[in-house]
Amino acid sequence: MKNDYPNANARLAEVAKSWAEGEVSHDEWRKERRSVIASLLSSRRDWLSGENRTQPPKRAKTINSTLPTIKVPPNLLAGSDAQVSVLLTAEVEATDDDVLLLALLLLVMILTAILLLYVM
Amino acid sequence: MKITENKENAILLTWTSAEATDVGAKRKINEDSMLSRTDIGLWVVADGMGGHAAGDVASQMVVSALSQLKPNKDLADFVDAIEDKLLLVNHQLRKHGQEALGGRTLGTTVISLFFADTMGACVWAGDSRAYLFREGQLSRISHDHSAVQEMIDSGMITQEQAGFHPHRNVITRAVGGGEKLFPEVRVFTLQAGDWYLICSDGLYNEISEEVIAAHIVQATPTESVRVLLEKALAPGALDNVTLIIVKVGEI
Repeated sequence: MKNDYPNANARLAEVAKSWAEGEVSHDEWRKERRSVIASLLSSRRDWLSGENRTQPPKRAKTINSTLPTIKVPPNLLAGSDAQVSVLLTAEVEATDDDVLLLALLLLVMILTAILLLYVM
Repeated sequence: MKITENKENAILLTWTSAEATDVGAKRKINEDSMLSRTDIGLWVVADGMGGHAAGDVASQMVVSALSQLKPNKDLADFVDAIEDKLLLVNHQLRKHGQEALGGRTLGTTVISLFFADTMGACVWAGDSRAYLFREGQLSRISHDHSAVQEMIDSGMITQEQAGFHPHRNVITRAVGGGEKLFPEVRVFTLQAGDWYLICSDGLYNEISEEVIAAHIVQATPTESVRVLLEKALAPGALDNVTLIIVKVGEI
């Protein structure tokens, strides 16, 4: 949200991301979240960087000096949510007309193949 | 179509809410569930996935669990309590899928809105959304956990392209969708004149944010819900449509 507490909400998003990526534990995420909210409740102003910060997110960078750094385009579905083992897709319903059309097409293809075999 | 209205007071602010859900024009069952606890300032929409006896069960389990929450004026405590419930239901859904449905995955999105005095919080997982209409502008509080949102964030596609993308239905987080669940949180202040909307994707996939902004303010939340639901159902809604609208005013 643009208007209310942009720093606090950015901080919440940052630590939540670190939690989802396994960089901080659930306890650390909860502790930091409580700290940010408590700060807002007590001061009624936006959270300031460094204020009541319990622990910065550990952003480990793995650098392999033997390989060149190649920018890989993001995977279509995984992205930053590698821990989510199942991606859910809301069902898309095919209409009866679509199914009937496909069945007819299949039937025509089979009949054509039989006819060609018979003629040859 | 079911529309109800409730009213409750805070210290300086008062809020009224209304909610509605509809199966839509194409689906045979309604897998959405909703909860309106105006007395404790809690509203929830859950959009289940997995078909009959799965998606509807998942969304009802989330709503049932959150309906058991006790009133709490401490925002941080209440966010903790909501998260605890969601993590518990996530575990229960995984177990239910393994034991009763032969390993089938059943899941649900969740969007919750909570008010405590003059502040509020939004906790969510998945692509159900929370909006705020304030001073003539509609802004989104939640950030979708979806494949297309990740593509938008990385600059691969635009918001407009996302609406037609073949993977627009793919979500990356859901209660029951994985061994671990990572709900997100946003906080905000309440102001007299605010209008809040939480909804399933069945609503915002049918009507644009411009249409929502143009019609959300009505005489009452009940009227807002009626107008927005009618607009969503008019083209023949492909999905279940669920929405809750909360209006904040002064005492």
